Amino acid sequence: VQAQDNVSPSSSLRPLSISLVRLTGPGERIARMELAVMLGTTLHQFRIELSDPAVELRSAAKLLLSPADDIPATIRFIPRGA
Amino acid sequence: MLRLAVGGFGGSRTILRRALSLKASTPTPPLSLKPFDEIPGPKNELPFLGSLLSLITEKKGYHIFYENLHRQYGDIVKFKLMGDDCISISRADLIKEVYLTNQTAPLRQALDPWVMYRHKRNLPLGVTMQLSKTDQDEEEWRKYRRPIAKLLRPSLVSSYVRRVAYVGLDWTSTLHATAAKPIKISDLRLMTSAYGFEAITAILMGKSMGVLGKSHHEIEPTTASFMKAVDTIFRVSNRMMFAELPLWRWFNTKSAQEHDGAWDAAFALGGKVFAEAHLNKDPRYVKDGVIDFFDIMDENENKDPDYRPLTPEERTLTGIELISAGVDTTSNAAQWVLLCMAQQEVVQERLALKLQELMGPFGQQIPVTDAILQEAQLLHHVDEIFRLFPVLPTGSRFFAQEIHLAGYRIPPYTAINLNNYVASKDERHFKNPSVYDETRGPKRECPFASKTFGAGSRQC
Repeated sequence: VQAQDNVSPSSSLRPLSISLVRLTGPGERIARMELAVMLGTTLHQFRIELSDPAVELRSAAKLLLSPADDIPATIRFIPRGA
Repeated sequence: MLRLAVGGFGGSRTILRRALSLKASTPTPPLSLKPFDEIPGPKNELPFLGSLLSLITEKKGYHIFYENLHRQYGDIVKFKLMGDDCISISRADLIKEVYLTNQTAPLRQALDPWVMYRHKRNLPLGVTMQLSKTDQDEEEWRKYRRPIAKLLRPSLVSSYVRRVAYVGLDWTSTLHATAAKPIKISDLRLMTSAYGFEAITAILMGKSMGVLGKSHHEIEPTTASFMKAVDTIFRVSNRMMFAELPLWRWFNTKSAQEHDGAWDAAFALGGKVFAEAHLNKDPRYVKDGVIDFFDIMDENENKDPDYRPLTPEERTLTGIELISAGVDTTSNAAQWVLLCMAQQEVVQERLALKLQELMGPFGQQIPVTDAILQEAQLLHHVDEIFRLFPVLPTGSRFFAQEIHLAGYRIPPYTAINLNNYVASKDERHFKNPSVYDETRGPKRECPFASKTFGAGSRQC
């Protein structure tokens, strides 16, 4: 990732070179990999279907942003190649 | 005396780092700085509580409270919570400024219920709760952060794909067991929690915990209780932080009791799980050429003479933090991945055909490899889903000295919220921000508009 914009001159914060700042942390690397594996494996075997594809995917923030339990739709995993 | 002079914490290296940091960031105040009080924000806030009631009564979640503030007042907003001055920033260049400052060990908001519990039980604060407004032992934080940072080795994460790929196959067994029947969103969470739990234990210990493809009563009791404790910690902490008056700060409320009980259980059960880390390994992970993360956590790779490995208690704490963070983050994000992909029917079919090309006929039990992740650009899809649904809506920072941001003076220890949720939908950085487009990532002009895991040394 490259730095694009310069820091605003109104700031008192002395910026580090972006090359010294890690943009991907250990937890992020693991989480992205786990999710990518899940996505690939799931789609190779299943078609994912929502009962209402146009439903608004609302968030109920908990400590982390989670889907609201009362989203008025259900999800199905339909085997491919069956 | 010197330790006291610099704040009374840390060792000599801490003092040196802090001295260098402060010297390097000595401000040259611009001429036209505006005072803190001129930052826009809600007027007529309640004494002491500030905007707390608005925050905890926002039924759609605290991220919507912040979104509404930015919609009304702009990119930088000032408000008060429990007597503390807070600002929230939602513009990518301001977020970048804060992340790129040369603090050696940045301070951020701690989860107060967690901190209070650990103080009550005389437990270490660990990597997540150390370095906050109130607890600033940099050496102690480094002790826990150093082992976890080993996951930054690119080859290590790639090697773990092999194990997580098996977890992926176990996950599909769970999906086959649903027999294509409709699943409620609330039940999907239990399924993705099981996936997150199995994935992180495969990485840490090379074990399968037997929670995928089984109903709750079939799961081994210690494992089931541990998962329940972790779930309770997050559920009750959320209520304490964002949905009720914080009476738990002063009284042993029902929430505080439930919270502390769940942590007690997590430590007791976690200790048992980690003590048995080397027993009953999954045969698929034995001699697979992959090293359990628990086995390399304590390597003194730089031959530091002052290095000492974590004690068993410290390892348990680290393990519980990794599992808790791993399960909850992965579980929430996985629900968004599945729901979002279900809505993107065209994208889903296009990606499925690509996977068929790479993995063979549909439906076969083929483990995903690192090469498939790259070829199918699966990480780009994950990144776009993180942009649309940033699993951590806000990051936070504190500075021990006055800083100048967006032309305002910001007093020391002002809580700075870095609002990923609003920034990642900013039309100045993302054309048609509500539209799913996995090709945005590589072309993204400013990565700081979508940094749900933060950046710098304190990123997740």
